[in-house]
Amino acid sequence: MTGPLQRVLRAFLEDLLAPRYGYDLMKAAGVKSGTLYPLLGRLEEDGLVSSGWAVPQTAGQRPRRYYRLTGEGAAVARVELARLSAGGRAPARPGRPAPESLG
Amino acid sequence: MKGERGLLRTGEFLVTRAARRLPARVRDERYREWAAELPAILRDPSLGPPWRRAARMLGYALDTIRAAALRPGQDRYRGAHRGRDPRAAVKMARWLLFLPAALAGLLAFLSLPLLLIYLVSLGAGLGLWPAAGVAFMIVMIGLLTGRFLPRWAFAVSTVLLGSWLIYLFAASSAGWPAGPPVLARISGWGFGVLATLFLRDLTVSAIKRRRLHTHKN
Repeated sequence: MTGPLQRVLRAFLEDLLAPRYGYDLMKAAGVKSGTLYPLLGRLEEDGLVSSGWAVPQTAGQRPRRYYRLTGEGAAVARVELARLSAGGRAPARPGRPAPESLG
Repeated sequence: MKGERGLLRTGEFLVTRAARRLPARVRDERYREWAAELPAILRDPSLGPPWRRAARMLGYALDTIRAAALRPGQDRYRGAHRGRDPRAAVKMARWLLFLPAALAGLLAFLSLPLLLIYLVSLGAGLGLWPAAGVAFMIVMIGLLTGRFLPRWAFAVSTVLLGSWLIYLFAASSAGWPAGPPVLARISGWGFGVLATLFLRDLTVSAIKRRRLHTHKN
């Protein structure tokens, strides 16, 4: 698991229920847009992250896309980050790409 | 914020360029997502002074080009950490070369009237209307070139900029007496084309965005 992926997952885990916009995640995780969006795309393809559109309450503002960890995503993130903290290496899960391929 | 509209347009232009690289099924959605973040960054008070917010917003928009890079033959996102696609690197290099050239061209194009007034006041023999006529013709040629041969835009821009720089260096080092008038003509011709190609790209992007928007509604 790469550093940017770790930081993005940690940012998600800070508040699981809060919708996170791309720019918020960039700030929280300290990654650039060129790194973040491919990462989010793959996490979403793997069912670990879900996304939706937030309609702004103020007139004239554009709808923004937000992201949240799914239940499975939160569980996987916690396990993988805990493994890393313990100094272990995450194994590949059946039917899923290895964590290395996620980012 | 002063100049916010122009900055947002520049950011949207860059985001449009990035979105064009994406598969059709995600292109519009990604464009809307990225474009919606631009005003949020530009108005983020935590970033500090306006120039820093503007730089951050433009950096975000520019980096979406990297976000949109695809692995050849695969309909899947490829981040920078998955290894670089040589073709994407070449495209990026082309952009990095073309953008400063186009901006320099635009500045030169906008400063052309001042240069003409200066030359006329010096009695250099360069009439205002003939110069304007030639510039108009060249702009038309540039428009047609850009319309029918968009792939040549980069080559044409590069050659023009390179020629102008070489001439400028030679004229200044040799002290040519015909320097200023010839410089004016080259500015009127070469940079007119450069600016036209750049503006054409902006216009085409705006038209495509409007078509997409109309189509969705």
